[in-house]
Amino acid sequence: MAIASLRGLSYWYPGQARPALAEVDLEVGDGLTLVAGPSGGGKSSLLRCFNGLVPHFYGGRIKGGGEVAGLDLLTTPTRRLARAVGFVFQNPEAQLVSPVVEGEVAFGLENLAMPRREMRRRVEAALSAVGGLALRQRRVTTLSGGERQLVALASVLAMEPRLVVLDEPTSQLDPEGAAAVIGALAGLPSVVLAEHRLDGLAALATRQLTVEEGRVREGISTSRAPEPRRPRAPGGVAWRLEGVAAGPAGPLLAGIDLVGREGEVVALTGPNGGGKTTLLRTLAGLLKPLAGRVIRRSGRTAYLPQDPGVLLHRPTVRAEVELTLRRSGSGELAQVVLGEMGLLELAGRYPRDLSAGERQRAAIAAVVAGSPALALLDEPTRGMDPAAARRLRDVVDRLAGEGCAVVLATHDRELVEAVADRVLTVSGGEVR
Amino acid sequence: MIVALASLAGVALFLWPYLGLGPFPAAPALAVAGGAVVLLAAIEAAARRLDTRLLALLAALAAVDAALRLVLVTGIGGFSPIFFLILCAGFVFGPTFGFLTGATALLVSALATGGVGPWLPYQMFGAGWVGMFAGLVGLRWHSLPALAVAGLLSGFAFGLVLDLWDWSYLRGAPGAGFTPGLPPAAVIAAFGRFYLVTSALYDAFRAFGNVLMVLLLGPPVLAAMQRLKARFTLVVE
Amino acid sequence: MPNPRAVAAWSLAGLVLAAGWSNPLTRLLVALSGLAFVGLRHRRGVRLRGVLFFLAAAWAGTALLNVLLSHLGNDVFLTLPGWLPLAGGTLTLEALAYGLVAGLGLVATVLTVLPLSVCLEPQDLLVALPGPLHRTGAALSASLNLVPGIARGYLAIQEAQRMRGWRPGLRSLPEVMIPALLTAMEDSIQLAEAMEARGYGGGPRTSYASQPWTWRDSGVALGALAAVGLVLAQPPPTWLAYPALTPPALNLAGLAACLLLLLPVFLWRSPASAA
Repeated sequence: MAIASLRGLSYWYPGQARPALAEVDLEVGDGLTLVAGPSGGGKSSLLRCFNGLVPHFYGGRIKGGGEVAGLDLLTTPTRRLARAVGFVFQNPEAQLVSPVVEGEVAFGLENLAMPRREMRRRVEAALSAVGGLALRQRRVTTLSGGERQLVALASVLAMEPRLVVLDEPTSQLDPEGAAAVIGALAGLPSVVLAEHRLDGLAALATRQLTVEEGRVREGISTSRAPEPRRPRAPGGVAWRLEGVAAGPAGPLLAGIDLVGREGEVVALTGPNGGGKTTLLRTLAGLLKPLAGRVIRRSGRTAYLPQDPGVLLHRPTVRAEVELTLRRSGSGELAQVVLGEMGLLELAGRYPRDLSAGERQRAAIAAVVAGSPALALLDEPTRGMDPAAARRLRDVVDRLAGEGCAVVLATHDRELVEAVADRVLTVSGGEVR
Repeated sequence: MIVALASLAGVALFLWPYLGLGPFPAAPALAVAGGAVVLLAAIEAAARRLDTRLLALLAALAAVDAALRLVLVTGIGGFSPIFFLILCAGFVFGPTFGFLTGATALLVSALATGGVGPWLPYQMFGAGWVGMFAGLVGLRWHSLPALAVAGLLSGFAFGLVLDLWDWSYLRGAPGAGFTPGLPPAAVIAAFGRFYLVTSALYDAFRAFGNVLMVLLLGPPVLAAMQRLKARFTLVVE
Repeated sequence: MPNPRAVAAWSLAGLVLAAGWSNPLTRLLVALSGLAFVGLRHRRGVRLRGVLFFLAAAWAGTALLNVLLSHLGNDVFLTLPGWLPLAGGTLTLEALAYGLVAGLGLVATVLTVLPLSVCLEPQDLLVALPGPLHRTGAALSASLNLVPGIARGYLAIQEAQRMRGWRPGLRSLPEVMIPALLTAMEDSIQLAEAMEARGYGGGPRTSYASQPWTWRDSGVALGALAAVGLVLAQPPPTWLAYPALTPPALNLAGLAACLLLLLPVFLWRSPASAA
């Protein structure tokens, strides 16, 4: 029996002429429904229909209709639908509302005006269902990204929903965190999950859907095999660390001696908190070394922070790229960089109106423009769809071919295999 | 309506030390506590009528302001980045929302930065009035220069109003503080002296800082708020 | 953890004592017990230096202001030339003493309210709000979760824009401020969305968090009540600065009341926040 059904549903965000969802007819039943598709294609909008955030939270224009657990989507407010549908969002930083974990899990129950005794029972059951009982008394601000997503899932499960919807819940996590979240989904009766990283998930799915240009179709096309690597010939020394100790507050890394060459791509891997970002920031000159010396060849350094979308502030995507080009005094054409990242169609759009994945691409274009001598990229494929990840690989190849020294910190094994000449593991204050 | 009533209570809170009532010893403490209670009740009563989205935006703007205060700690003189968002929120969403934003922004930033003091109810009223003023300006003249002028005026007015609280500590000091029984003109002259010496220059930084922030940062932030406002209409075909 | 309502009772009593009478000795003792409370029992990670510096500056400022503006009093210690606006004229010891005591009143009232923010977790304070205020309290408490992230984001944006060629300056301020503000607003809308998706808004709520009230809390609250009772029954002796200075004096009731305000230091342990 269908838990949720959408009938002829079309939806436009406020002020948008193109529909985010077009004529969607869909029934969702028990099991794990996996939703894939390019970013900006309508995955998030579709998922938000199931608990009425679209259209009630976003406004705009809607046609058609639907039901979830017998409730009409157009006339039932989200807060009522929340009893039947649980929703876990993409961003681990912006969905927790309480100071302490157990209070967080209880938040939805408080909204149901449940008596305290019953709340305690449910909080305990939900936390143990995700394997998070040990987190119970922790302060939310001290949790890692993976732990935050587990807590978000537990707080949804505490409300005992019929359907659990997750919008790219692991895209911001390291592999360990992602595995823990996916593992916690195993026992749930009905789940709708949107994700780019499909490895391991496809086997669990009872049904696979693709959302593209607002339309939903059955099945997911598997990604093509990566193209063969072109060999590189690294040149002279581009950067060097000599006996460097570094860290934002006290030494996190110590006694680091490393050399990178022009046209060489170095990948840094290792667990979160192990020092990858510290190493990149030290190399960029943003963090002064506590001991030792950092030497960089002259020329511009491109630096891509985690979550680069936050950089964007110009009225159009093109203006973002042009700003960097003007600053670096480069003769490169904005058109070329935009084309490389597949942004020509989006060049005139306001960057903050784009989807998370499109925004990330715009930010990468804005950062790597202007022929840098050194490119430092922190988790560049985080939250990216496969097509965008391929484009990023091409950009890295091009930069290296022009003699740019590239250092990237990443968990993405595909990216490492496709572009890295050398892999270093940063862990426990050491680099191997 | 609720905000107007609360504002009356606020005016009383600021002026009672000067109304020649015989002060009884527990009065200052009760005034602070009473002011806080009236404010919290007013915030709750007015927030009850808000859509969840607006209530959350309210809380969020307060959080942003608190974070700004953490990062930029204090500016030069009386300049503070927190008034900018209060002005914008009032301008886009109207006087009531402006008052709420001002009052909650000061409350949350005081909580987040450990700045809870007896001045808090006074600051909350002051900042609330700034937001309310921006809201009233927005209803009549909806343009960026009008908001800049509102920022300028409210920058001085906020300092002037809060000085009424500071000044009450100098009560009875001849020449410097308020002395009961003097004619109003003399009281105002004494207060004017106090204001000129302690605050005029300091407030100028706040006032011109507001103007600068509105002109430099206003357009994108106002546009973002307008986009949020656009979400409040839903068309079902 | 001290119960927030007991801390509030203590603060109210301190306010009554500090602001109710212009007795220099009660003000001094209240300020000292406030200092002891926040100094010894503040929560982990709180830095007091800024507040204390501010208090010292406010105290000195109030005293200086009164000396310069109030020219009354018998004991002249300096005469400024008459052409100086406002400040010109005689400067007196009486004005200095009055200014110091007025400033001490400001310092003492601040120190009595300070424990609410430095000895308690801010969100616990919001939880302690009475029932009808819970809906707004929950929204405010949620927004407090965003504060550290927004502050971190601001610094990260500054760094990243610097690498894109940004240099600090008035005209380039928007390049950091605009992304920071917009990102913070977007995050907060997402938070609102998350709250809505979990059934927030409208209707009655219950509260999960319970803040136990222990005998220690009772002790502090009763002490605060007794302190107010004592000074209301036997007010501290009045002190006059003008026209001639009088020596400050304190009665037994006032002394006892001030000592009762030291109870938190003895009854409450340092609140340790969970790591």
